[in-house]
Amino acid sequence: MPQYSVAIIGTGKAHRSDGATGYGTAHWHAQGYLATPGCTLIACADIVPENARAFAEMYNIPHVYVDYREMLSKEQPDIVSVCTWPQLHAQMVVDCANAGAKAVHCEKPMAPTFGEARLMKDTCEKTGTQLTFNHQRRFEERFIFARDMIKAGAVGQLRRLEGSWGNMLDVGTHWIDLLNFYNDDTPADWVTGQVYRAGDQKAFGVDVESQALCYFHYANDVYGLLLMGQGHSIAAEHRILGSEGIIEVDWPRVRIRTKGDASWQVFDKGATEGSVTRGIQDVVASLSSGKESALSAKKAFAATEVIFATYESSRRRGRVELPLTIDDNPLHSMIASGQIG
Amino acid sequence: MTELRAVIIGCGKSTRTAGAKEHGISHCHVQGYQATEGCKVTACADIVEEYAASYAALYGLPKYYLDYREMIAAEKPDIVSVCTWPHLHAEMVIHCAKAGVRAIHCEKPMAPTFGEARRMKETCDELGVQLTFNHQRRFEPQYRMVRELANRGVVGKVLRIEAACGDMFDWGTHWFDMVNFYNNDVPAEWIIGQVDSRTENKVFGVPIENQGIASFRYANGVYGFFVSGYGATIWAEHRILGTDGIIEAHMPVVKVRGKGDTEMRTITFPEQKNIGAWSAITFGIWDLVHGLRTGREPELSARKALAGTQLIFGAYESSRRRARIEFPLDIDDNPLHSMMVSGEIGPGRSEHANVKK
Repeated sequence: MPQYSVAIIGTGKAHRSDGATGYGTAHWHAQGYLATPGCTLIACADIVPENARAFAEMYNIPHVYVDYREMLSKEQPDIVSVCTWPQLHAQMVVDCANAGAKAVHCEKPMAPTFGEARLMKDTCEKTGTQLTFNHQRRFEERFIFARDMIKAGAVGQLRRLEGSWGNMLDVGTHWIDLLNFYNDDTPADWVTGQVYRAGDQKAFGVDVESQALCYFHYANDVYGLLLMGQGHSIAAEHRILGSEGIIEVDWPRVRIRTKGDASWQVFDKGATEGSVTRGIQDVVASLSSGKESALSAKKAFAATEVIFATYESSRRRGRVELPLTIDDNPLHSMIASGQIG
Repeated sequence: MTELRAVIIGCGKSTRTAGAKEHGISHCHVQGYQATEGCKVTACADIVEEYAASYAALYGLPKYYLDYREMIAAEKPDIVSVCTWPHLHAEMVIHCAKAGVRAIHCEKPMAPTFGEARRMKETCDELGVQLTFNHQRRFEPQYRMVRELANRGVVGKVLRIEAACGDMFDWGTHWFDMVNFYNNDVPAEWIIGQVDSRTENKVFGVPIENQGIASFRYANGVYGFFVSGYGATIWAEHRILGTDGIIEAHMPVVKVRGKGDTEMRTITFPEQKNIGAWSAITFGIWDLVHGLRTGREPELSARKALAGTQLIFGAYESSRRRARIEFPLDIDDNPLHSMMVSGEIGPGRSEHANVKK
């Protein structure tokens, strides 16, 4: 079995500890590597030394750094997890790739701009670094069940995938990724959307919209529909419409009405524990086998493209054909120029 | 019963005659009045004498006019049907209202701008004139069945009503109206939408979008979803999504899968015609005549038409403002046209013209 040394950037405070603002996601990563045979946590870095030290102590990590670059050059880790906020991802991922890491596993959302997302993907392709993003929900029970039911033909011909929740960037990256997952990662070919910014909404320090509408089309003629944010609801997390049935995913249950069902069949599929670990196991298995990971940058980039195309549709006031060729975050550019908000 | 005297503005060519562009809609109107008891059509007007003369002859009307103002002054009708293109509606409706007619039945879409649509309704409200718009699909039996099924709870609680068609303005005025109809004319609270206008596209002389999308919410918590134009489909004309099933309209077929249904059930209606005694347009005219006689709000009232029109222009305004639009809508123009004029959207723009690299 191949052995991999692992380092973590951005330990943060522990989940739900005093003053913690995020999800303590570095802890999920560390626990994932600890549960993955062949992986050894050798170092961690955080700009706050006491966070890094406490983290190292908790997971028995021998080396602690304040400067992640120093960690990369001294430790030469095989795998690096990037658990910082989105505006830091591109610099860190590129540094990891250039420092010779074999694999980088980065938190979502990819980045605050589409150019940064593309830069990470392109750089890692050039250096031969396996890049993945933690869209761990692909490993949650209810979504896998829904995908399996679609594949088994429960809805007949797949027609529309719907999702509803918070903002496009933070939640949307998961939701679009899951709609892509349901549709076998078929590429989208256009996006028409609109966003509304009623206040000063941010996610992980990144300006986001208050409400969004996103209608997009896949190359296999399936449609995606996201009704996101303030005031929007589809009365479920996801709804999958087909020629002969409906699936509704709404934690902790999946409801299915397929051909022949006089009423909803309801399945308890609420398990979410261990999804980050299963993602890390998939990432490590891919590094060994060379097979594309379920969490590949290619897949993350496909979801990210729909996010930024939605913003771009608002800016251009039109339908946006993919691939998307912009570099900025149209929402941020519009906020800066006073075109929105 | 006192006899009500009706006149028609805008005869046009007859449907499907040589050179006829549109639906010969004035023919549907005159046949509607002639099929309604207590109504008599006394005259018609068209700027093309040949059309007015042949129309008058065809329907046995005593007189025809070239100038509709002269007709209104001379005939003093109770009811006027306005069957012209949308850019003429406001001027004609307001003139007729001020000239003292009791009821005006105008073709759809209401007008090319929201200000004109609002002014028609306000003027008629102020003057006590009954104003209706020919959203006759409210009287088509398959759509009434759709609403009946929804109202009876066949699909549980209604979550969302969807519609799809070629454009938001011309066909869309019917479909927004139908979404409102299915939701029992509960007012909408807000709309968020987008339009794409990359190539020139016009209907009845009015520029329209190539593709449109809109999501809107009603005061009763029901959502509306609308798509128009190229690449946009819902695989039906309309869909009602409920907690326990789906109803779809695919004229002339209604499909329903409600509580207890193991599959979609299909009800096939006869093909609907727009003309003659058994057409929805005739039912609409009968209803507005009855409304005029009794003081009851007609099914095709301007109030309802303006609610649908507000959704059209609200979707356009959402594109312009890049925002969710709260109702009531407070604009006067057509945002799509204003954006085309200012060069913010429209043909000739480079796909990436406003993209900063």
